[in-house]
Amino acid sequence: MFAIDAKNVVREFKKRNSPYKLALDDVNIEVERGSFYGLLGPNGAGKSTLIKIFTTLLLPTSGSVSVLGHDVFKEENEIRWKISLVTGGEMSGYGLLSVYEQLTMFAMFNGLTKNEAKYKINELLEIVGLKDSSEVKLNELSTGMRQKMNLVRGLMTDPEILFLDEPTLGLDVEIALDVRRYLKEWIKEGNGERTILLTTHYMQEADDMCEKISIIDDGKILHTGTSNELKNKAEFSVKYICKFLENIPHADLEIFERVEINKDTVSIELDSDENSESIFNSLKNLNGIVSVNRYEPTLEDAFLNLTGKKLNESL
Amino acid sequence: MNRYNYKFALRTIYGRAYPRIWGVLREPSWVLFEILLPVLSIIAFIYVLRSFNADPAFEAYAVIGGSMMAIWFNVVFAMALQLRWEKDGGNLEFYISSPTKLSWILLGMMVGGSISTTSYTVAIFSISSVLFDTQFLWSNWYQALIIFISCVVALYAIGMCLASVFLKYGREFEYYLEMANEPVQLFSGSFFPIFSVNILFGAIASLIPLTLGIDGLRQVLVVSDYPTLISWEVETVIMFFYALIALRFSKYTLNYMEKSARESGTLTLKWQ
Repeated sequence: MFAIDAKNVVREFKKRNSPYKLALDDVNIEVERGSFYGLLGPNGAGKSTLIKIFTTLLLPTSGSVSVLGHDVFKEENEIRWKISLVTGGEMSGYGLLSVYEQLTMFAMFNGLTKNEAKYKINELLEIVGLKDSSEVKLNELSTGMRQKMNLVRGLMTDPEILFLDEPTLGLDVEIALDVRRYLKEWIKEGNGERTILLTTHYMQEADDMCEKISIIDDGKILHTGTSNELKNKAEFSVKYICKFLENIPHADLEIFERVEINKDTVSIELDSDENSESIFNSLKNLNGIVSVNRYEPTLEDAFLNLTGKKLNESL
Repeated sequence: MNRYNYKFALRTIYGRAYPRIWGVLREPSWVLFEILLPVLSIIAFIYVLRSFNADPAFEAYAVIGGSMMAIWFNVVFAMALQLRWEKDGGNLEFYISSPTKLSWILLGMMVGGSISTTSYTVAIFSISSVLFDTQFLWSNWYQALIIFISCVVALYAIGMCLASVFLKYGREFEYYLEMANEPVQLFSGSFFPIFSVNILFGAIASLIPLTLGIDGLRQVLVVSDYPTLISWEVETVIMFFYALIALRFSKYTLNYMEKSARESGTLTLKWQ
């Protein structure tokens, strides 16, 4: 049984005085239990819509979705006992309550007893480094502290699936790294029983964290695979960036099919990794060369090839 | 095992009532907005009454009516609009995606709101009574308590119904609700005995539980010859039924709202 099994999911929205907007178009996703799965795509690609369907907040217009074997159309209550949702930049809660009080309130909504809540909250606040701030009011928290608190809210019920919708949005690099580190540990400790579905538009985050990634754009899943499989979808296997002192030896570069020259910099893309070592050596020996750098494709390159646009351009 | 038992319900109610009771008290401005401003309007009315040498019973009416209006404003702004605010504040999606029932969360809001509003009402009533040395029949305090509780529960139950409606139909309903404040003030007879105007007028106005609550309290707490349509006992029973019907109806409106909002996307999308 998959943790999430979505088949032919379509979601349309009707806005007042405007035509239907197709937010999801025939989406198919299978998320294995115990895996860290990523949905990578720009803002407006359909990531959040999909996560809202999985978390029972929204129904698909057509198609079928099963979460931990339960149908989102009919068994939303069963699903809600087993999942948690944390979204980036969320400002949920009441500013006049302390961190501890706020978390206790949500614990009550999730069926935890007061003692269970106390134990879990204190344990998790300690782990994320918020123990000393447990009595601080929400309206006095920084963005990073708030997001750590949101993470505690998501984890305190020990969900079978944790949905993370852009969890590191707006966080300092250091805090974002802390969050990522802890999530990796959390899923590892679950011994195959904990699943995370992460949506992000940060390539590096998806690359670092996810075992499997789906690239989504304009409501369509363009490709699914491991990070390396997706990188193979880039237009090149190896790229060399060569910097020349002044005269670029055009004649020597004619043997390459894809060469881009920009002032004193030459970019050479190769379709295959074969002979890359000898090519690198020959480039090093060209007249007037200052430096040669070798690049392997990133998810950004794969995204560019699959969508025809850079991820940053579509934000 | 059925996890939707009374313990879970009580935990949810406690969880949501807590911020309503304690959170609010941490912001000192509540003293101004919830107590001093209503007291000011009572003071204004009492001076108008004194300038006309009105019957002193009217002063007691103004104190009761002015104090009870605070409940109406709290029901409107803190209960009926609550789900809308929760949506705008980003809480609603976490309420819905948690396993608890939304009706229990609203019940928690109702319990918390009732307790805090009762404390405001008691404060407004006490300050106004002391300021003007208003005379009440304190021996009937237990009858007054029954009427007061029935009125608060009936109003909040109606607030629970309205909460789903406002969430479903959006922001324009807020304006209608704000527009209703003055008519409610008039029809509930907050500063005058409603049945002395016209019996028919009073009977129609009785559709608002606040009218019955204010009239009932006046019957048991104030000595006067002004007419009443029905006894306070009957008014209490009517308010009790209002509460039962509204609570039952609110369960359906909540279920309908959640279902249709999941279909349309209005539950989670701020632009909807």
